[in-house]
This record gives sequence, C-alpha cells and structure tokens, in this order.
Amino acid sequence: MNILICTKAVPGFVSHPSVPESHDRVDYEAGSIVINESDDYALEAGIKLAKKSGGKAVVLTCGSLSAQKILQAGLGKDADAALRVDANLFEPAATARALAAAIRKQDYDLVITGVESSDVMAAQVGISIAEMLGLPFAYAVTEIELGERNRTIQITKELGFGKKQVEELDLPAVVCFQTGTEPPSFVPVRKMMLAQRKPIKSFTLSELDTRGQPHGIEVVDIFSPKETGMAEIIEGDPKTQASVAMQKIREVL
Amino acid sequence: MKGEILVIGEHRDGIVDNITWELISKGRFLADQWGTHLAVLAVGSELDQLVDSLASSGVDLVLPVQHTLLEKYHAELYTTAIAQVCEQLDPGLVLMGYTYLGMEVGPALAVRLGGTMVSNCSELEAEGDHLVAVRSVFGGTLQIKVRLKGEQPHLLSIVKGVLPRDNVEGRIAAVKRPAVDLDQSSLRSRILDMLTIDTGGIDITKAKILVSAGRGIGGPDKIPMLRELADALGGELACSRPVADMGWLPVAHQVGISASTVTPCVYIACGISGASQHVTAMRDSGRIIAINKDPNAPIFRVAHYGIIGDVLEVVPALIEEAKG
Amino acid sequence: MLALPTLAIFGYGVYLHWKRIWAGEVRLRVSLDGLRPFLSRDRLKAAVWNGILGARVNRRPLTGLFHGLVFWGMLLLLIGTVLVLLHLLFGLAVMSGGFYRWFMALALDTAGLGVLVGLGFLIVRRLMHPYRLSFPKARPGFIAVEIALLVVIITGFFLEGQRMQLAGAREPAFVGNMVAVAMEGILQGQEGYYVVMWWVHGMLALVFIAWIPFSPLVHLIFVPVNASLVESLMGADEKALDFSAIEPDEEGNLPTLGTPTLADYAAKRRLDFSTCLWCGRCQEVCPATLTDKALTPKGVMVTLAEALSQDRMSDTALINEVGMTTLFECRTCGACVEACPAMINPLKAIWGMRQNLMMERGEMPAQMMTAYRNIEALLHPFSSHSSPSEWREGLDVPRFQVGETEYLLWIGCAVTYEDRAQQIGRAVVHILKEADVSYGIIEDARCTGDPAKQMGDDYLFAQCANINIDLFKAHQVKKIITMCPHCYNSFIHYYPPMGGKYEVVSHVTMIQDLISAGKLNVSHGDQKMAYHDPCYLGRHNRVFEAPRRILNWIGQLAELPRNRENSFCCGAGGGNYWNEEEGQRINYVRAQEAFGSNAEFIATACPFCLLMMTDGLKMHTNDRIVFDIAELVVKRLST
Repeated sequence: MNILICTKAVPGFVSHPSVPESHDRVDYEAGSIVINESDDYALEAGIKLAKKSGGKAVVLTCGSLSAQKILQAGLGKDADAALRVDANLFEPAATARALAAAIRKQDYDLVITGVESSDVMAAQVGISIAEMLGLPFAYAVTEIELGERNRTIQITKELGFGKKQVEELDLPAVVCFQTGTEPPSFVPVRKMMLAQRKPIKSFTLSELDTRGQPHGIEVVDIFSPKETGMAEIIEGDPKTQASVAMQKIREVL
Repeated sequence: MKGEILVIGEHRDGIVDNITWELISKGRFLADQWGTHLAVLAVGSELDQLVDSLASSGVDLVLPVQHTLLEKYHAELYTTAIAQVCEQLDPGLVLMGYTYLGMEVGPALAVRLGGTMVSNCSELEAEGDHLVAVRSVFGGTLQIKVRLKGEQPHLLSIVKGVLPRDNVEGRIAAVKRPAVDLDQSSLRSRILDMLTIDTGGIDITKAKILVSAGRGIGGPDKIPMLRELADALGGELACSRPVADMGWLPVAHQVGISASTVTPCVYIACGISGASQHVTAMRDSGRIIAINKDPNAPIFRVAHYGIIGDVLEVVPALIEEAKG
Repeated sequence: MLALPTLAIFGYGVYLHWKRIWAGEVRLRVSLDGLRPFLSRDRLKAAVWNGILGARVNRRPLTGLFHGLVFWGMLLLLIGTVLVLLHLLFGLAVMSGGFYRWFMALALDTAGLGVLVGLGFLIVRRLMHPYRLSFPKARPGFIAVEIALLVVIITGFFLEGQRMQLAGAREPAFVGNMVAVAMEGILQGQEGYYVVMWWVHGMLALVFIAWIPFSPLVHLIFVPVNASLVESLMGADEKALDFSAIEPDEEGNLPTLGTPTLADYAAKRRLDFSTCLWCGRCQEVCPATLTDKALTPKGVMVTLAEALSQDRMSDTALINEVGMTTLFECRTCGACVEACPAMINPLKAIWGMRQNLMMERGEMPAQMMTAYRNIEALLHPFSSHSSPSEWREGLDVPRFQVGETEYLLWIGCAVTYEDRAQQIGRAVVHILKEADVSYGIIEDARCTGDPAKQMGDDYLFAQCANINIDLFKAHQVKKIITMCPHCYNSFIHYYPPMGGKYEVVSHVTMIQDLISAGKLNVSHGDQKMAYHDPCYLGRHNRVFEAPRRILNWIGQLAELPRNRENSFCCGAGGGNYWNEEEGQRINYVRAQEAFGSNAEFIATACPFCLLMMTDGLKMHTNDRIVFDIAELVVKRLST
C-alpha cells in the first residue's frame, strides 16, 4: 500500500504577531520550526503501515523552504520520499486545494494527515482534501490496519464520550490520525544529516494547475485572549490557600 | 448575508446535547438581527422525542432527518444526508459544534456545498451583512478576528461551552421531515463495530467530587497523593488525556471530549493546563478549583478559584484540611 | 646475556599495550584547540607532580606512605642494580669507599627493607581490602606480582647475607648483617649455595621485569605518561563537534558520532583504560555511586579496560554492556577526574558514549525527552507557558544598545523560566543598577544550548549556539555577565571555536570586583553562611575565591565538609535536572551536608544548585535558607 502523509511545519513559539496589509494571513517571527504534533503521529503510523504492507511512504507538506526541515525529519524516520508544495498559505481551504492538487499527481492508496495544526487550529485540511478528491474519510483515527477485504483498510476512530467506532474504508481513502499514547521518536542527528543530503521534489502552485481561490476569509486582527472569567486567585502560603480552598469546597457540598 | 440559518443539532441517548442549545441561542440572535429564519436539524432513526424539545427551543423550523440507515453515526451517510438537506434548504449560514461531528462532517460539507468554513470559533457577531468570528491560534496563546467573505453557505463550528444557553421562549417551530436519498450499495465505508472504553466499573460521571491529575503533577508517583485527597473528600480521581495516554491512570478516569464529560459539584484540577479538549468536558462543574504553577495557564480562565502554586505543596495542605 | 630475553619479553608486553592504545583511527576530528601545547611547563609540572611524585596518591597519607616506600625503595634498588652492572661491565668504582658504605650498603638496605614493609602493607590490604577495591570488580594480578617482588627482595637479602658471611665483611648493610649472622651455621664454607642463590635471585628478577607489562605494575610506565598527557577537565576542554567539517565518504557513510566502540575513542582514552588500576577512588566521590545509582565510573572503566585487554576494538555490543541508564546517570560533575591518582578522565569516556546514544541511536531517558523536545521547539528546555519577560516584571531593565552598552547581561533559561531562580535575575539587576554598571539585556535571548550538549546532542547545541552567536554579532557584544555557571562554561569554552569569542565574567566575580572597587557598599553581618561550590563554576572553571570573599564581606563564611574542588554535586548536571531520579536523591544528600553546617544561610552561585538545594532542604526546614550570592548581597546593600 502506497501511503502519502501530509505534514505541516509549525512554529515552536511565536513572537511579534501581526496582520499584514493584505489581511489574508498572520505574520510572525518564529524561533524554531517543528512538525505539527498530530502530523508526527500520522507520519509514524503511515511509515509503519507502508513498511508492513510492502509499499512506499511519501511525506508531503505545503510550505516555504523553511518547511523542508520537517520533510527531512520524515526521511530520517525512513520515509521513502518527500514532496513540497512551495506555497505559504493560511486559509485551510487553500492549503487543502494545493495539497489535493499535488496528491492527484501521485500514485497512492491512502492519504494520512493529522487532526489539527497547532498554529491555525482549524482541523479542516484533512477532510477537505478527502472531499476534494472524492474519497471516503475518517477523523480522529487511532488505529489503521489492512482490511480483511481486498483494497480496504480497517480503522478505529474516536467518537467522543468514551466511544470508538471500527470502520472499513474502501481504498483509496483519507484518514486523519489522532495523537497517541506512545510519544513519537525523535530523529537522531545521524539520520537528520543523512536525510539532509537527499533530494526533495517541490511543486509550485502554477505547476499544479490550482486555480487561485478568492480569499474567503479576511483576517481583521490578532490579539491576546481576553481574560474573561478569570478565576479568583487565592493568595498566601500553601496552608492558607488550602484552608480557603477547603472553605470554598465545603460551601457547595 | 442571505438565506436561512441552519443549526446542525447533536444528540445522544435520546437527549439533545448542550452544544445544540448554545448554537440555537446564537442562531436566534443572528436570525433576528438579519430578519431571517432559524432551522435546526437532527440526524438519526428515532427522533420524535427530540423533535418536541427542539420545537420549543426558539427555532422556526425543525428538520428531523430520519432514516433507518442513520441509526448509528456514519460519517459518509451523515455527510450525504446533511448535504441533501442543505441543498433543499439552501441556508446562508450553517452553525455546528467544534465537536467530533463538526470536525469530521463539517469540512466535507463545506467542500460539497461549495461554501466557506471557519472552525474553532469562540465568538461570533454580525457586523452589518457580514459575519465576524473570533477563533484561537498558536496553541490558544493568541486569538484572531476574521470576517467571512467567501462563497455561501458560510459554515462555522463553535467551541462547545463558550456561547451562552439563553432560553428563548414563546415560539413553537414547524416540523418538516426532509426526504433523503441514501443508497447503501454505493457506500465506500462500513461500520464494523462500536467500542466503549472499558471503565472497569469506575464511573467518574457519577462522582460529586473529582480530584483531577494533569501532566503538571510531575509523575505517576504523585497519583497516590491525589488519591489520598480524593478519599479524604469522599470523591474520585480523574485526569487529563496526557495522563491517561502515559498510563499514570486508566483511561476510565479521563476527562475530555474523547472520553468522559463530567459535571461534579467540585472539580479540583491539579497541574492541568486547560487545553480546550479537556476544559469543554468539565466546564459545567459546580465549582472548579485549579492548582497550577503557571499563572498564564488557560485553566485559570475557566476555574472559579485559582491557586498559583506547586501541586506538591498545596495538595498535602488540602489533605490536612480535608481530614482535620 | 639473560637480560636480553627479559628485555624482549618486557618490550613485547609494552608493545601490546601500545598497539591497543593506537588502534582504530580517530574518525572524527573534534575541532581541537584541545590539548595544551605539548612541550609546556604545565605539562612537565603535571608529569612530575602527579606522574612521578604521585601527589594524588598521597591524598590518602597511609596508602601514600607505603606505596611510596615500595616505589622509592625500588627506584633506589634499581639504581643500585644498574650501578652493580656498570661496575661489572665497565669497572665503575662503586663497590668501595664511602659511596659504597653509605649508598650501596646502608641506603639500599634501608630501601630494601622499606620495600618489604611497603609490600607487606599492600599485600595485607589487598586481602583485607576497602570496598572500593573490589566493587564492582577487583583487578586481578596484584597479589601475584607483589608476592613475586617480595620473593625477589627476600632472595636479594639472602644473597647479600651470604656474600657478607662468605666475605666476612662488616658493613653498614644492617639487614645483610642480620641475615649473615642468622645463616652462619648453614652456609659455613658453602660457596656453591651463593652461586645458586645468585642465579635464583637473578632469574627471579628478570622474570619479574618481564612480567611487569602483563601485570598491574605496568602503571609504572602509564601513570607518568598519562599524567604528562593530561587534558584539563571536562568543562574546560570538551569542544562541540564541528558539524560543518563532517562529510560523507564515497559510499555516503558518515563518520561515527560519539564513541560507541573502543576504536572510536581517541588514543588518549585507551591510554586511560590501560592505566586504570581499578582503585575505586573515583566511585568514592561520584554522586551517582554514592546514592546507589546504576553508574560507577570505576565500573565503566573496568568494562572498557577488560574489553581493551581482550582486543574487542570494534565490538558494538560494548555500549550496551555499559548501558543507557548508566550513561545518563552521570552528572558530568568531574569529581572522578579530580580524584583519580592516575590522571584518568572517566568523564570523557562516559560522555563519548552518551553522545553516541543521543546522536546516532536517538536513545535517552523518557523524562529527559520532554526537555529535549522543548529545546527543539522553544529553544530552551523548560515546559513553561510563562512569558520570557516575567522575571523582570515591574523592573526597569535596560536593553543592550549597540555600540553603547558595555556588558550584555545574559539571563539564561533557568533564571528566565524557573520561579525561584528568577529572583537571581532580579537581585543581579538591582546590584548592577546600584553600582552604575553599563549593562543591557537582549530580549530575544533564550538558552545557550548547554542543556542539549549536557544530554549529549552537540547538533542541537550548535543550532542554539549559532543563533546566539549571530544575535551577539548583530548587537556587537563583546563582554558578557552570566548568572549561571553552565552559561559561563559554554561561553568560555564551547562558543569560541564556533566563532563566538567574548570576555565572560560570572556574576560572583563581577560582584566581588564591584565591592573591591568601592562601587558597591555592603555591610558586614554576623550571619553564618555556608557556601556550596557549583561544579561548573568551581571544579570545572576553578572560580573558588570570589564567592568566598563576598561571603566574608557580608557575613561569616562557613565551609561545607566537601568544598572547592571536592565539592559534592547538587545532582542537576548532565541533563538530570529533567530526569526522574531513582533511589536516594543526590540533592538530599548534599542538602543534609549543608544543613549539618548549622549555617543560617546556604549560599550558592548557580540557579540549578539553588533549585536543587532548596528542594533538598525542604526535608529539614520550612524556612527559606538557600540563596544565591547576589540575593545575599542585596540583603546587605548599604545605600
């Protein structure tokens, strides 16, 4: 089974955020670039599944040159190849369109993405890609296996409230992978250095024939969250604090 | 903005989920402001009970989407059914929760209807003809205000528990059963099984007091101390997702959107930062007391009382108070 | 004539060692400003002082005495034997006259007796040994070779006795006299016995000499050599790997990162392993061993030495034998290096393997992983949501102005993000303002990257360091004040080869200088203040006196039992601040020691020591008694 894994390079921390004149994105300075957490889980699950089924795992991202780092990490985790769509996009719909266009050019059976990126926090791209490609989809998946029937996979996904659903999906399909229990491995320096020497193919948007999408969302402003509903802080040393807290607890019991 | 406002309602075990009331409340406000109608849909196979409560919630129209194939949640079928309803109704605005349903079905719906979606919103207002929403970015450390300009329908998913649930009296909605055409044979996905977390007899949703452990307590060796507090108060232990993932406590204790939603009288959050997936599932607790070293932890925006300090110092003091 | 095979065997033995030490190529050139110039006064001094005079052996006076008796006794006897040889071959006139009486007779006899006494002590000690000699293993071969030497000496005395008895000589060779008298009856006229004894003694001596390279006595050669090749301590010398110099070969293979096999180590390390006598003094001072953790530096040396003697040069299983847990328990405090009488550096051996685990195998303790991930994402190891400006809230702290400000005040990650440590920053800012020092901070600064290096990842360290070096370049920084010894150490030793050369002063030195120059006025008090030397300020960088002067100016300095270069680590080093500690806690042990001083305050000069000691002292008192020197100075500022 050939697997494409969509990953996103996100900033480790953000300083000096601002909204540019074009109002189509958020600008900021990032001290470090890392792979989005749920994408890391998707990456490991995808590579594992590809190896198990004797297929290839290809890591994709839609980002600028600085995003290459996470593709190299993917190669360091033994992905077979890496692809980058050279575009710095903000709106989830635009990102999905760009990635879907790149995916259409690939030979694949399954697309795996994460569930939500830590920067835009939209949780839309994975499912949007599925619908744009007309493929069956599943969200918040915790396990993927080869299905019993030919050309299917079996997934387990979270439904919330302590419930999970086991589903069979026809391939090709798109699956959004949830963060898991085993933290993803880190890529040791050696593998990073070897990965850095591997070529990474990149596409421009025009090469992918994606129609420019009119921006559906206008970013008006960026600010710190309002402190509404701030808790009443209990001051003092731990003994005092505990005493006051206990009082508050006994009041409602 | 033109067209109706449609709320995608959620329900479970015959009871309407709170998010629906929150969306209806907001939807009503917007509908009145724009002089348009508010509809709510619910998907399932036996909806009569729900229809009654929805009909008196303040909407103008209730759309029970009923079909035997829709008995259990099925992403593909639900998306198709809701899309068909939207094609018939042609709403200008679709409101849903930032829930598992909203995250799985919402984006697919947006693409299928050729509309514009903004997710994870905590506020929305009408500014003239436009809708303006506030949503979190960068791990919740910042928020942005966005204006929707793209193709309609506009789809918005709202964080659960943030909007008020104002009771809107005095209106009885019309009920119209939409016709949906669902073809089982052309499905590309099939439900094989439903699983429930094995709670091993522990039901934290029944507890009146919960002492909840977050990653900030430092390690599994700190759990016994929290258990001592829970016992002293006559309550039960709970935890955040990372704690359950790491195996410090069984997943039966997990409070979060993927596990249990709780509403105890007292919820003591120890070393929990307050990620939205956790907060959504406990914010309706009677009294929330948060203990965290970090004064900027988001939990302090939800808690009623906060102690900025070291869990390892405060909890022993609490145990003494509880026992003494 | 018989000397030749002896020398041949001796030579062969030494050659085997030589081969092992030079085996393997140094596949990775560390950017070497490392070893001090070869012919230098320092090196000569070290060779003589430590290598020959055995200064460190004499730290244990009793052992030192008896070891000295054997060594110096044998040296004299060796000279004596050579002189006899020269006399026989070239007729050198040593066998007569005053020289004969006083040296060849009296002195040598005394020497011989000394050797006997010394050997007696050493043999008995080997049989009734202190724990450190046999844990985890005792080095084989000591008793055998000691007994051999004993027999050589005894036969030598018999020989002498016989000669004197036969020759009827009266000499100051008192032992010989005694033997002669004792054997009077037996040897009457029996010249034959003399000849036999001569041959026996001779052969035994030659066998003994040939045996030396195959026995622990080979340290006769190795210790002086090792002492003369000594590099300075870890912090002072270990440069970060130069990644720009690493290129794959034709087959696309990269050189090994770190030192997983014997062949990967530099020759000096293999010399270390060959020199090690398994005396265990290193584990007696190691904070990990003393708290029953998996690590003992002697244990690591034993594993490596045994592997070396079995010629397991490229055995990749070796690093697994030592084990990840063991390798990460090391606090990099350097106490083992300080204690070793043979001038061995176990720390570098451990560190090299740790680097391999991190940079090649991607293995590290699970808890440390969180801190590591934080460095990757946040450029500092703390999982904190607090803003980097929290530490200076309410204070008016100047920013570094290009071309105008003299000193950059480097905050460091601990002071920025750890609640208690933030007070150090606030105290130092107060002091600098009071003394009207031209200083400023750079807001974007986060972490030197040292925690990454401590964990063993030089690559991540280099990433952080390069960001800082560029930042400093943009601000034209020339002088830096540090508040953390780890930052101090990084700037002084790791940054220069990477292009970051600055004049670095620790905050204690700065405060001392300010008080000396009258720019800062402090009042004297009676409070007793015990000082805990941080490893990276004290032992690694030899800054001992500045903090002590300050404490004596503001109060009464009290010394802890283990102080200065013998200071006991707080336990946070080597990345272990972010690790889960098993068993007895190192900081509790040190806190107990500190509390036992009955001082009113425990002073330290490192934010990590501050945090660890504060935590440790909670077991003893609820009062806050641990303070940074800067905080104590602020308390006693007289305006």
